[in-house]
Amino acid sequence: MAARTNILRPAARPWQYNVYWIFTIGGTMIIMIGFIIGIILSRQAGGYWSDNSKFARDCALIEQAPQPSGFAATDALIENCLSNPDRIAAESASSPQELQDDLSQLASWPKWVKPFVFVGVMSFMVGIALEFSSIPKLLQNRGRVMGAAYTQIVKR
Amino acid sequence: MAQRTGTLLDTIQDDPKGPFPFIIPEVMMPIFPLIALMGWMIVGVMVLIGIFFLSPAFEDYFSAPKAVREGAPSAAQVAQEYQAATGVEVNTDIQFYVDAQHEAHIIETWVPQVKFLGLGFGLMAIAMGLGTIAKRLRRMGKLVNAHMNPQFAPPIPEQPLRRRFQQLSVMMGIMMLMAAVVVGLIIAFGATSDYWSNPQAVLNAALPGSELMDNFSTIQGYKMWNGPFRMLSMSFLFIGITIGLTVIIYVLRIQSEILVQFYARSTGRR
Repeated sequence: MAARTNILRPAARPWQYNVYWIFTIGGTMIIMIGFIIGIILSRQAGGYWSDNSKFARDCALIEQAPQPSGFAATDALIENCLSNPDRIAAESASSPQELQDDLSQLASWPKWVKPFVFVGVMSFMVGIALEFSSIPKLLQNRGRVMGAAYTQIVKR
Repeated sequence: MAQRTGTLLDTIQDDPKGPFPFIIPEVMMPIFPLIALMGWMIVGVMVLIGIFFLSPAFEDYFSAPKAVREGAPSAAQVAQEYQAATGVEVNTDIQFYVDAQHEAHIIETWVPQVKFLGLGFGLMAIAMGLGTIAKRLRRMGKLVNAHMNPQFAPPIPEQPLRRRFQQLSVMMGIMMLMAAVVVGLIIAFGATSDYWSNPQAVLNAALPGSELMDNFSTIQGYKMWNGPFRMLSMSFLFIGITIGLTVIIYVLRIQSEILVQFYARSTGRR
């Protein structure tokens, strides 16, 4: 009978249930951070691509390029840029260094923000998987308890 | 016995439906397999658009050398030289390439939004399925309770409040994905269409402050926030699924507790 009394305990809180929320909250925070970075990059992209012509963007810091480059098209661009400093100044709202920094950031950040956001999605998945994994044990307990209670239910 | 159970089951009342807006997911809950199927079909149609429209548009655009497809002043001459040198026939009409890039960029702007909406319907169906399971578990609990000796039967607990958060979260997620589709269509047939309807040579020569540059900045800015926004919408759906599971776990645990209480009362054991 002692063994039977042992069976009749309500289901204990599964360990997975104690940790799943860490992944859920972690996932939410990661995705929120990704979204905020996206908004910041969006503003930066708006400025970079609206205030500077393609000529000015292509000419940013071009004087640092090796000359001759060995490619006719590149050499022609370098020559064109170096002989038109006034045009570059007129068609750009930022310094060449700022333009180069913006381009570098706008090209590189999305490359890690995307996988970072997917880490957030994966965190949600882990949380969901942990919750699912706690259900079989609860069902097992439920079966045992129901089995014992059944005899009392049908006595009615 | 089977007849008795059937009769009792028929007398078990479901909980009254919630107020607006909760009534919407509650009414839609039983048709969750259809919603999942709809999501699958939406994603399937987007694949077909990719195969039959997007891919051929890019194929057309990249069928000629850069100078030809980008509409450089010497494009026609380059095209003739290319044909003479390689024997490959290319379309010398610049408008052909402009149309191809126009079509490709428009499709690329709105299709992913609709694809994610389809995916969102799939996730919504999972959340609804979990809600339906929780509802059925509650009904089953009521049935067992109805068979218990009223003298020992513990009271049926209230429905957990968190189910409302689940419904809100799912509705929020799907509405955000719908908003993403609307914004995607506006950008696709607005800024993207206006910008990419020009030859690349014209686009390259655009000056700051021009409409072309404004459109391009809108397109590029949109690309930066759009992806994370879709993921944020999906996160609401994931939260809905997570809460749905916590409701099921809660119901299983509370029913187990009730059965133990009933057993203890009816047998006089503690």
